[in-house]
Amino acid sequence: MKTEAKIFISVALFFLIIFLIYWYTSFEDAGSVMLFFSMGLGALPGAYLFWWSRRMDPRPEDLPDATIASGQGSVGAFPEGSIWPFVIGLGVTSLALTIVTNLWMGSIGIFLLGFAIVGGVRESRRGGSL
Amino acid sequence: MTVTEERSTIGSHEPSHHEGPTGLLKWLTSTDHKVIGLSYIVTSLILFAISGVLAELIRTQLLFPDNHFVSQHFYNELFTMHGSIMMYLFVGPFAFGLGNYIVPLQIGAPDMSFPRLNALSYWLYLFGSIITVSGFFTAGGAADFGWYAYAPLSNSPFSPGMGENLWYVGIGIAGLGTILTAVNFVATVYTLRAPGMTMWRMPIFTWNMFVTSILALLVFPVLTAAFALNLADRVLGAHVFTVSGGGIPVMYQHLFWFFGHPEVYIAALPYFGIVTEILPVFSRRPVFGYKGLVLATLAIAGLSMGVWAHHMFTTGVVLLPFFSALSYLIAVPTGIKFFNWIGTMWGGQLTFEPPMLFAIGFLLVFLWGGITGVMLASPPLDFGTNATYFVVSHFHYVLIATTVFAGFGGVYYWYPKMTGRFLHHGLGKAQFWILFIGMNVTFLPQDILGSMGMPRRYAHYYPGQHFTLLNQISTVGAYIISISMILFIINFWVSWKKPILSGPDPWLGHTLEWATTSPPPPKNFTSLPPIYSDSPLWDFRLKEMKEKGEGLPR
Amino acid sequence: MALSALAIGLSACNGLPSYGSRHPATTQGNSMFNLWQGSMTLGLAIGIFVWGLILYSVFKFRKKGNSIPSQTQYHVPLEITYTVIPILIVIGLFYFTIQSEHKVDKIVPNPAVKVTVTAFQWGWKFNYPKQNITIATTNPGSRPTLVIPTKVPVRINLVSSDVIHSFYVPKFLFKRQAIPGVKNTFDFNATKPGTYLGECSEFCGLHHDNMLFYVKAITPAAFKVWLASNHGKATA
Repeated sequence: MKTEAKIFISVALFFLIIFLIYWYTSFEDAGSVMLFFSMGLGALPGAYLFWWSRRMDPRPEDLPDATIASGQGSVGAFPEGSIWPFVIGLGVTSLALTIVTNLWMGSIGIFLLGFAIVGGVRESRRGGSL
Repeated sequence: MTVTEERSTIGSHEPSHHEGPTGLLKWLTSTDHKVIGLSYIVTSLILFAISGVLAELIRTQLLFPDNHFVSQHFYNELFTMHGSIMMYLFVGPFAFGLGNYIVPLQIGAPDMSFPRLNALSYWLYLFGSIITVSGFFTAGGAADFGWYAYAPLSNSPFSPGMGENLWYVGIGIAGLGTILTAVNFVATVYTLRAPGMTMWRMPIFTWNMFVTSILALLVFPVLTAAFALNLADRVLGAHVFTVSGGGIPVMYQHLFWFFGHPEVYIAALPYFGIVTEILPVFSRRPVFGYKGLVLATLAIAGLSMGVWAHHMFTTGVVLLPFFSALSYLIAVPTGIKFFNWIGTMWGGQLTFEPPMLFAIGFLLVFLWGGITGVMLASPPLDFGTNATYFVVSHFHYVLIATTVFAGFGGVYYWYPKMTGRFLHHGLGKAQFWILFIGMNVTFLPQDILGSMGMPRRYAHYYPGQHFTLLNQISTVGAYIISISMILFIINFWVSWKKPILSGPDPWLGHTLEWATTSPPPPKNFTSLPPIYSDSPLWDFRLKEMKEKGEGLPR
Repeated sequence: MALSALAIGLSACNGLPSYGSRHPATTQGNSMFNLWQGSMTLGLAIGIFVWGLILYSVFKFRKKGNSIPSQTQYHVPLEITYTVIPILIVIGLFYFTIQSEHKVDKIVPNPAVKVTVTAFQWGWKFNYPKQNITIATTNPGSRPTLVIPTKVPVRINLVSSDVIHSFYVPKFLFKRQAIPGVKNTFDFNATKPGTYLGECSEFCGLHHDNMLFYVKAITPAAFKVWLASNHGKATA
């Protein structure tokens, strides 16, 4: 996990340096603000990963000499398939179209999203799909 | 049914066959990264074809001086939609499609980290694309303010219409899909690697997809914000970018290019990765300078975040030396990559199947894009060439090298993995040569046109300007490119009708995707070789070859 | 070696080709033109070297027999070399860029003539505030003429009244955006009399490609006569 943390922390450090140079040489607002918040995007996951990397043992994928067998066991739970991403996609699209069309689109979007959220939650409770 | 995936050692269990939905319902409900990856690839190639047709119409309009093949208004729609589809809906999604298919395989994972989110990303991309393109069917036509939609031209007083609104919404939705995919890639790379696959052993393609994802996470939210603000100006009567309401038009350029320049690298890094997969395999050598190559990728990504205003040199309101210096510096890691690629081939045993041809084509073509790019990093040179065909030629050299040469190289390389069949070698080679000739015939004349001062986005030029002959050569080149694309479709059809079976590892691959069947079973692997380097399968094969003492197979 | 090629390129009156560029008609343009020639020559030289390396390895290392090739993956001195050399090259390029940029962006305290250029959809308005002369695009597609003296510095104040445009004269190898809410200022010294085509080079809507104008450079003496005879006139 250490390399993973270092990558995001370097992102943060890089943007900190660039932000300081840019702000000091240009005093231009838009770019400085964007660089500053880009630093945040590196710092947030970087700090989280760093915190964890000090508290957990290296995983098999962090060890250069790990054998395939050392990673045996559960990798994670993967769905076989689900219709709900499709429905959420339709809902989000209708909702976004509301801005340029009319409120009817929005009500369809909210209906689809609600439907999909309920459906998705029920699906994961059953631990299954469809 | 949710399957809890167990990691297995060699040959410990049989590939399982699940009963599931078939046909359309299978496509709609699938959360398998392979199905989603293929959907991305096919959708983006269809959009590429649509956009290519628009490009041919543009070139046809420019075939004669003061031509009236299409109306002025439609010409503006043509170049806007050509650029928009290519930049927002093709180059990134095509790479993310290949990445979706290949990255989990390369790191020995059963799927992406968040399979349902992965499916959602695809649907958002598909719906966003449909909405963007549907602008052509509205009364006012599609968007016609150029793909970077500078405010205030893109505001409603100057560009009213439904097509424009749909453009914003469609690209915004597709962008949301990209952000979600990027999250998924980072999580997958961080949590689903096989034992022994440390970060510094990941194949370069996976590395580059990972770095690309971080870039996408940094900049796509900015694009979405810029579009949302612009849309607020358009439909809600806000005044973020209008001078009369106290807004600042230049701010839009800052927001846009803060996205727009890294977007160019989002369109390049994955394709660098593809080339770095192909060259070692067909040279029978490991990647030369693996660590340097990864560091170069990180350096390119970092620097690309600090050069956005080199697109704004001619605005007169940006800090020229800062952006010029950082833009020049990008040439250094890019140069390192070039020498690493050459070093990989150096002393190898090269064979020239279509993927290798496309990868070498990439090197030759991209180099010219890079050289013209270094020239554009200089503000005084940019004053003369900015917004002329010199820039058009430059970024087509870059983007065609990456997305078309390296992209098709990747398709030829991984098609056997995805389908268990080869694409026809002869047709592939023909496609390569025709593309290579067509590409240079199209865009070298544009370099000269730009140097002579022909501005981009002009529907007409006049006989006295001496632009006619070069434009005609360029148009002929564009037609030649379309022949090569038709050859690809024929090739695809041939492989469908008369399959040439490839087996699991037709190229003697270096990375884990070749350690499973073609196409891979659900959840990908029944066994994995031990991982001691960035080319685990090649280590395994080398050991085998040395034990047999026969050298390379024929 | 590469840098010396650049240095040669930057010396005036060199024998290098123009690489398609127009020969400049301003002193500022000359500086950019020399930089262009030098960079293009250097770029081509590097290009030919790298293309050569690629093609050499393609032809030299094609598969012969079935021996397993060397599996060397790292060669640190070589890697350092090809990192350092590009850095030196870009530092050199950056140096010459800054030199040229200073010449091009230099604003003199007392220009001989000041012109306010207003870009609009789809035309130009040239206003000489001191002499109260205005020349503008009247009907779509008409091409107004900006009259300037040669040799002496001319000041342009560039504004836009609606969307973003760009003031581009190919013979000057120069363009600058006209942005609403921003006043852009630049100077140039035309070197010889002549009439040069100018274009809008930032996409600005439907008739973008019809937003043309001329720049007519005449001798300072002739310019004085022209000013006197046009004093207070608003011409098309």
